[in-house]
Amino acid sequence: MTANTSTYLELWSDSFHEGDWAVDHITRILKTPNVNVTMEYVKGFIPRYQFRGPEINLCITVFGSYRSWTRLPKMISDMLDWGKPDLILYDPESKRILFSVEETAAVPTGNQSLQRCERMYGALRISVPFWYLITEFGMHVDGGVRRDSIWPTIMALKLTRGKKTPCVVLHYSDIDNPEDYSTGKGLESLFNYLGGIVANFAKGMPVFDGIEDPLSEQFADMLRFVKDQWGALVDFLPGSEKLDDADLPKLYARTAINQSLGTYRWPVNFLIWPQFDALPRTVQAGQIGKQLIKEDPLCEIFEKHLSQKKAYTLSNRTGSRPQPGAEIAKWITKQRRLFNSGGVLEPHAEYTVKPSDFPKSKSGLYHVTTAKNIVYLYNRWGDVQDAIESAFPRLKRKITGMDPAKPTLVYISNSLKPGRIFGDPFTGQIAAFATIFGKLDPEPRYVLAYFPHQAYTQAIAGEQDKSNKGLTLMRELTDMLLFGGGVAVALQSNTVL
Amino acid sequence: MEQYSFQLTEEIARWRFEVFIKSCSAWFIAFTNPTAGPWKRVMGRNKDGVEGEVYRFPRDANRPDLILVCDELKMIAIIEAKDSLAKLQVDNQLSKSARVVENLSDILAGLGENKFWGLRSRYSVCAGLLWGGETGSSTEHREALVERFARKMGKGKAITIRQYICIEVLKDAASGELTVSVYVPKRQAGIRGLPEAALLRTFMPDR
Repeated sequence: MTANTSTYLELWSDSFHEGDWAVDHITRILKTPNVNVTMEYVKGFIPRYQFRGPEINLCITVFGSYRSWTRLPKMISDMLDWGKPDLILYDPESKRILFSVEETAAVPTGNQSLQRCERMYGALRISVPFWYLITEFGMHVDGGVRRDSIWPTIMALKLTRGKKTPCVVLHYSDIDNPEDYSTGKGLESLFNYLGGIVANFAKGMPVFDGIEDPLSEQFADMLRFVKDQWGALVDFLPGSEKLDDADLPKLYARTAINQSLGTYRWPVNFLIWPQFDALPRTVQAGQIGKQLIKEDPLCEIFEKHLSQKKAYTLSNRTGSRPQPGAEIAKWITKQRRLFNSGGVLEPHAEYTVKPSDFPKSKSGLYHVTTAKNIVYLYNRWGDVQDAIESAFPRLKRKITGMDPAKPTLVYISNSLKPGRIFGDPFTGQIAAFATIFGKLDPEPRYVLAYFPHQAYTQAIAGEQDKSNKGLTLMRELTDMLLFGGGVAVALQSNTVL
Repeated sequence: MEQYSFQLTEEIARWRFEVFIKSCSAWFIAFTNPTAGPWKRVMGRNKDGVEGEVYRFPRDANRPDLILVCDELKMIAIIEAKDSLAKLQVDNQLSKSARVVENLSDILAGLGENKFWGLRSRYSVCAGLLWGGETGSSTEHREALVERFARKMGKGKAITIRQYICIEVLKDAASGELTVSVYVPKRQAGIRGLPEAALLRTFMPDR
């Protein structure tokens, strides 16, 4: 005898391959001697799986290539504005997303490591459970093997706690088999878990029923990864001594599925980056401003503020990626044209970036990197505003309504190519850093994003539709954008200063 | 089920053809170029049918949309896909596609030592063009397209392409049903490939 009532799910995916691949893995979990699985292609190409058994009568239809479809379910369409996750499992009856998944074979090195983090934020902001499957070890273009960054994992931990929804990073591969999906336990863990959610749904049970223990294991793996890897990337991690606390995985799992925490208690200030004075002494002592690679009036002050203990940064291990001179000249011309299209500003502002500003590297290419740091954590917004007004006097008395005592995250992107800052990997960086360093903390930080080489006009919503995922994200996660020539934009109010 | 309508994009046209190929046991898919995932590698099979990696594209390399293998005919098909015939007719596109076929043919011919590829390094290469549409193309259109495509070959590596195929994925305007047709052009820039019937037989779905 089989369950009489048929339940339907739709698996939306970036490509049919990914959708079909996912259902194939879920099938391995659901298929038992009592469950019969059939598959047909609707209209010759849309995979539809039917699961029939004593407790299950479930149909999953795979829709690949989101943008090929008209009248997407609204919840999916809204989520895609924040970037396209690879998989979204949707219940058309309740119009609810059960989970979304991002999986990537991309090498998690340099800028790439934070690429796609905006998708994580896009799901969690509307309380959609999210799993990110990424290779732990990847082959760099130089032939060496690199290990994944800690930031996506820390972002997931903070989102889980802040949004009370599962946000999980799972790793596959190992050092001897970089980028190999079949190595490591990430892939198996992902589909064991997702299969469990689908089975619960099909049986009419709460989708998170029986999920606490496997979810705890996933969080335990994430915490172990951070413990192993943080020292290679940063000088200080708040709560690092608590990473192997036996209660932590349970705390995350219960928070994620809205279960009582019982006797478990969160460690104080765990993963909350503190004010300068609360840093370990050795880290405080290491905060010394350095010479810039390419000159910039504002970054120069930021570096001085490190020495003055007004701000701190995470490490000095970032590098510079020089660019060809011809490209730099071309991009500057385009940026100037964009800047001038904004008309006359009051007080006067000018795009003064020129090719000779960019120092030549040993390879003959040109550095676009200003400060080596792209993140500064300030104790007070007042110090940031002083720096801005000192570097760009035209902004004196123009920035109002900000609380000078509020702590602030300053994020810098030195990118020069027009439009680049609104795409990968910068949107992922902003989403990750804003989440990790303060937007969800008990005492949230302001977020200032500084783009010294970009024209402000790219951030203004005018008559033409300039909606893109970068602007969507910055509108929600930043308090102010600052562009070349010292022009500030507040996206929430669409105001240019 | 909700009724959603779709546009016949390149992704859907290519996927439809892949579904078709899965029903033709003479061929297997060695590579497909969706946007992401564990499909970015060319895969082969050893004599026991076990799959393994044959080649991994460099990050910025131009890739074909599909690579198919037919052991029966000792043939590899390297296929470029677009959502319409018009997009394949653009001169630059044809040149780019020709370079991809030539470069990849050269690479695959050098993989004789790979245990999942081996003797396939000696297979002949068939260049394919795949497109989608709502109205069928004419024989003249297809012949002219392939003739232009063939003329673009031979300007890069010294690989001789002896065979061409065209794949048309048609959408029925009323039902949304997608059907696949495979054509072997008659004129192939003066180079004769396999007899049309022998090649088309391998594109017959298994019953």
